[in-house]
Amino acid sequence: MLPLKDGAESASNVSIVRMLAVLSRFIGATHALGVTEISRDLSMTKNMVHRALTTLVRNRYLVRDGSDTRYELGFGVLQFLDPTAAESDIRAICNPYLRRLQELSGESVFLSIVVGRNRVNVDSIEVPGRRVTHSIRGRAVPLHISETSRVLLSVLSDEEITAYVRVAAPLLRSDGGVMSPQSLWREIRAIRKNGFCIGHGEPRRGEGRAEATYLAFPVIDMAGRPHAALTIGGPRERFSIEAATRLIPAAQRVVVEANRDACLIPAKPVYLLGE
Amino acid sequence: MFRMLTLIGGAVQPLGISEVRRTLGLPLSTAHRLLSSLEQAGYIERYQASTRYVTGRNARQLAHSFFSRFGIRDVCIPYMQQIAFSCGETTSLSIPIGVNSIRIASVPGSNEVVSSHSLGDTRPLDASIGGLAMLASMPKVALDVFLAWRTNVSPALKIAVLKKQLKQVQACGYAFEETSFSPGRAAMAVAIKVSGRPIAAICLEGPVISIDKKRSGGEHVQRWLAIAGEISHLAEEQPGMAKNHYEHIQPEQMPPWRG
Repeated sequence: MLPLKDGAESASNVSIVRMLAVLSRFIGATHALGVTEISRDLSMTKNMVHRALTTLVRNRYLVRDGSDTRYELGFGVLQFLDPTAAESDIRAICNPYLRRLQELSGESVFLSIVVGRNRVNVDSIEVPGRRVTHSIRGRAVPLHISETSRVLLSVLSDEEITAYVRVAAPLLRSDGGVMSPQSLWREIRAIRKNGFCIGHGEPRRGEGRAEATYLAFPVIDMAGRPHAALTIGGPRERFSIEAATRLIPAAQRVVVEANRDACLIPAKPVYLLGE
Repeated sequence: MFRMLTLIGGAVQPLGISEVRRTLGLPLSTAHRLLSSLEQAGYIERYQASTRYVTGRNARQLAHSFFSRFGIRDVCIPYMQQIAFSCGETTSLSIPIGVNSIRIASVPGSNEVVSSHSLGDTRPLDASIGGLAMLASMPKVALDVFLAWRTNVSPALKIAVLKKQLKQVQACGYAFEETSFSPGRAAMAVAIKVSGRPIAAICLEGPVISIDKKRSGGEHVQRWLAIAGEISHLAEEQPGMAKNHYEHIQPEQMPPWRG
């Protein structure tokens, strides 16, 4: 193949740079893009943009949308996926911090997320000996029950919490009693002020008192939306409220680091089913 | 430039300029110029500050931006994390695009991974259990269109066998496939439906159910079916999240089938 002459090489280079700029405009795009919008954003003529789009469609990096006037990313960009790389999800981000909290406390630790109107554990490190959970893995727990759930609830907006209280009413507790919305709001305000929730959980029906202590922290994204909750939990004879309270400053330092990493990715939207 | 991107994107190890120019038959100066342009635009980057190249940040972001165009993904991933944690198996999400299904999300489980298709994996709807779950919940007209297309492209395919399989899926409410590494146990997939049409399928890729008990399902299966029902309910309430911007795409515009 003959090398291009200087002038032709330079022109070809300019066209490549333009084409890559047009393609890059689709990174993070939340809607199909048209020639006018791209041309305005990149300060290119419509003709230049149109030529780049045509080439990118021909090479499957873009496709025309259903209306045939705008463009979406095409299947050709899938070649850029690293098949060995795991998706950046909150479990992968929080796992090292879960380990650090477990090492710090010597107790079991849990990572929980909001799923619908519930809290669900999606990762845990449970220590041998007496355990604090006896439920099946992945069980859904309403967002007002337990310290972990209420930490997640507290980082939702006031409007979302009001909607939750409305659709979840009456706010049944694990022991069969009912929690008043006022008492839930009091707890939420305290969590927002302190940045954590500490308590004994709820006793189950027929149990005189809860046998565990939990210390839970929120993990949020840059917009303050909930990613997850990190919780330390242990049997109360070993992990008392006093022991948990002494742990708070060190645990908070770990949680701050977890939040620093987690804020780089947007949290998944919360859909409070039944709103 | 596109051939260069494809070459570097598909390589199993970082490539240097001499491998790139030799494979693509380019003069050194052209290869150098193209690599520089791609590097400056963030489409390739140097591997550990060496002189060898791998796919760059902007290119990877494009791939992720493609997936983020499917709103159903954001809805399903928390539920998939719940399922993956409870059963320990990798859980994936596929959507239908015309006659094909494409994998758009995957949540690894905690159990040892035996095999898993990669994100973007594309195949005809009848060639995966996720696809079968979606096919079985299609309206008859759409199913007939698929079967006509399938007969046309694969005349040797036994349509009667496929129809029998789909009836079985309709009876159970989910699709299943015996795993080769765990005889007697099966992976399963369940369709997410909106207005009577499948918009996606969640697939539990490990041996999560017993073949003998597949008809009764058992407690876990009922829970997973309930989760699929909850997602369907959510999607019915907020149709925007279920929108598929690629519905109009023709089979020839899709990536080649694998597997």
